[in-house]
Parts: sequence; structure tokens; C-alpha cells
Amino acid sequence: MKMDLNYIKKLIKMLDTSTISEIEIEEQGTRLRLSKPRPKFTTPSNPLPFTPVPTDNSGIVSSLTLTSPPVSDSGAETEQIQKSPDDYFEVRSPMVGTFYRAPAPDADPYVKIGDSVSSGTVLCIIEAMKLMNEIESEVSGKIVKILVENAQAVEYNQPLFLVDKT
Amino acid sequence: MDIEKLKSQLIKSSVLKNLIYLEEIDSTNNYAKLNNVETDTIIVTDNQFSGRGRFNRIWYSTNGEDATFTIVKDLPLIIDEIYLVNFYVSLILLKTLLGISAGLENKLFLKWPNDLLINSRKISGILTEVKDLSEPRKTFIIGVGVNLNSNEFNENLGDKATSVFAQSGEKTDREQFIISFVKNFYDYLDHLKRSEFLIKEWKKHSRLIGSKVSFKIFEDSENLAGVVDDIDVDGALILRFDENSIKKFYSGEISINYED
Repeated sequence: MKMDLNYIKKLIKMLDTSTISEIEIEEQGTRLRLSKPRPKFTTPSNPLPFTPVPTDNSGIVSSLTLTSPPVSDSGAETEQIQKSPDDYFEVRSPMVGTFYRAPAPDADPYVKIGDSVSSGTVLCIIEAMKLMNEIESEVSGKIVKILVENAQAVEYNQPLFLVDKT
Repeated sequence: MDIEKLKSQLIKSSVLKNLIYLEEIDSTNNYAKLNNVETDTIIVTDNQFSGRGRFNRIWYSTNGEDATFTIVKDLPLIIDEIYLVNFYVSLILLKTLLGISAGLENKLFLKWPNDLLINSRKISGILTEVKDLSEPRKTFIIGVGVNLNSNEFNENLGDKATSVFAQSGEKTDREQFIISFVKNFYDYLDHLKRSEFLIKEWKKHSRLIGSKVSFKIFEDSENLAGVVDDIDVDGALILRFDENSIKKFYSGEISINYED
């Protein structure tokens, strides 16, 4: 895996077609960060999914930066590790629908606060028009917050879980 | 179940890659999920003893009389298009039944979003589960249960269930039904890229528009009385509550108050 132009093009394409808004990769001293604008999310004033928000398929990559990290020679900075917003990842709903934490009313929830998850772990189901959509984690980490109640209506791009990536 | 007949029509002719026959299983969808069954596979059983509907509602089927199966299919759909799969599957199911039993013409109707009714009673259940949502090709696990030849229904269902046999007096060849359904399913997949056409076709076989219905968003929420204004091209249900109030719904369940 080398960071050549084709590789970067592939990443841009991947980002375009995905629901994630940012990719960051560090490799042999070179860091690449790709991001696209997040569609605006506003908390619905009406709790029911009456107005669908159109999905943004434009997939515009707004910034592309290729930087080398500054050479750090003292351990001082790395000592004082503090949680920054970058340490958290928000799992957002890819669609309008109803949020369910468990596969069935009497079943255990897919995840609880404090659970470790990895990329691909099923976190919840979003049901829309009787289609049961398994929502998977896009990152590895620990669930620190569940932002929606079970059996609540969710809007497109609404944050569902907060995952601590550190 | 005549498995050789299914295999010769579906596997040897390359419609499907695999056929898995299970004499009995809790649920063919569960089996598909637990075993990561690959695309273009059908899982057929004679006895699904714990068939699931939405949220573990039970789907009852009679051992050896009905059709219960799951098709696993990867489809290159974007998120806005995935809802169409339920409309597609229920439309294909309706067309397959009409092709097999002429006596059902003008009796069989679709109910939003994926039910098939005869005389306001349910004859089929579809449970579609989607995996790999963030991938360009998403995996659809499509569970179908159809009451074909059963004539006794679980008493818990009251008068909500019926079968092709109970309504038409005709016995259906189960293997032939499954073969026709699968072939139709594969033949018209391009409908999924033509949402307006698909929804228009679906609406032709539904008596919903203009009907008075009661609507519930969740199992335990209050009943809302309204009239179906339309089914939108994205599949959403549009209900009119009074002169000035029209709302669009992506989840929920309707009951139809047909005056028949």
C-alpha cells in the first residue's frame, strides 16, 4: 500500500460513495486527510419522520491536504494526553427511519455503553418501510454515548452513537 | 419438497448459484445471517418453526403445505433506492401468484409497504434485512413466507390470515411456485433502477389510494385516522388527515377500513 496518486484517487472515490465524511491515514511519516462537507443536520422539531431530508450524493471533496507531521523530539507533548473532539467518532444515521437497539423487543441490545466495538460491528437497526437495516460501526473504539432512545424516529445524518477511538 | 425439481430448474439453468434445503429450521433469514450465505443463494425449508416477522412477530406456516424461503442477493443500490426492494418483492410475489392461480385475479391486493392481502386477510409475509449498507453492493436477505395450501390458521391470528387454497379452492404446486417466483425475481431486477415505474406498477395492484385507513407509527402508539393520498416515488406513505394536513411516513403500519 503506497500513497501514490492512484491510491489517493481510490480513497477519494471511496469517500464520495460512502456516508463517512472524513478519512485520515498516516503512513511512513506522511499523513493524508480527506474530508467532505457534512450535510447540515438540524434536530427535528417534530419527533416523527414527516419530512425526509434528501441525501447528499454530490460527494464533493472540499479539501485535500497532504502534509508531513512536524518532527517531534521531546516526549513532553505526548505525556499530557487529553481527549480532543478528534478522539470521538459520531456514528450517524444513513437514512430516515426508526432506531432500534436490539434485533427484537425481548432481545439484548446490540451494544451498551462501555462496549468495545470494531469496524463492522453491528450497532443498531434502522427500520424504514419494513426494511431492517443493520448499521455497522465504521471505526474501532468504545461506545461512550447512545444519542437516541430505542424506537425513536431518526432523521438522515442524525448522530446515533459516540465512539471513543483512543 | 421435490429438491431435484428445484435444482434442475434453478441451479442447472444458472438462475441461482446455490440451493440450501433444510428439512426444518427456526428461520431461513437467521440461517442466512449466521452462516454468511453468499449472494444468489436460496434457502428453502419444509418446516420453519420460528419464522419471524417484524420485531419477532411470529410467522406461522404449516409443515409441508406452504412456501417459506430466503433469497440472498447483492444489489448495487444506493441508500435512496434500497426501500424499493420491499415494493419489488411484494409486486413479484403478486405477479407470481396471479400467474399460477387465475382464480385470484381481482382478489389479491398489495398493502403498504409489502403485504399481500386477499379479502383483507394476509397471505404472505416478507422480512427484508440489509447488510453492508456502506458498500456500493449491499446484501439483501429477503425472507418470504406464503400461505399456499394450508387451511388451518393459528388461533392467535383470528381472521387476519388466509391462504391461496382457502380463498380459491385450488392446491398450488409448491415447487412450481418457488421456481416461478425466483425466475420472476431475477427477470425484472431492472425495475429497481426505475423507481417511478416500479411504484406506479405497485400502485396498480393496490386499492390503497383514496382509502380510509388507521395508522400507527409504533406498535404501542395511538391510531391516527386518515386517507391515503399517495405512495411517493421513494415509497413513502402520504396520508391526508384533513383539508390542510398531509404528512409523509417512512415507518408505521396501516389498517384498512374497507367497507366490503
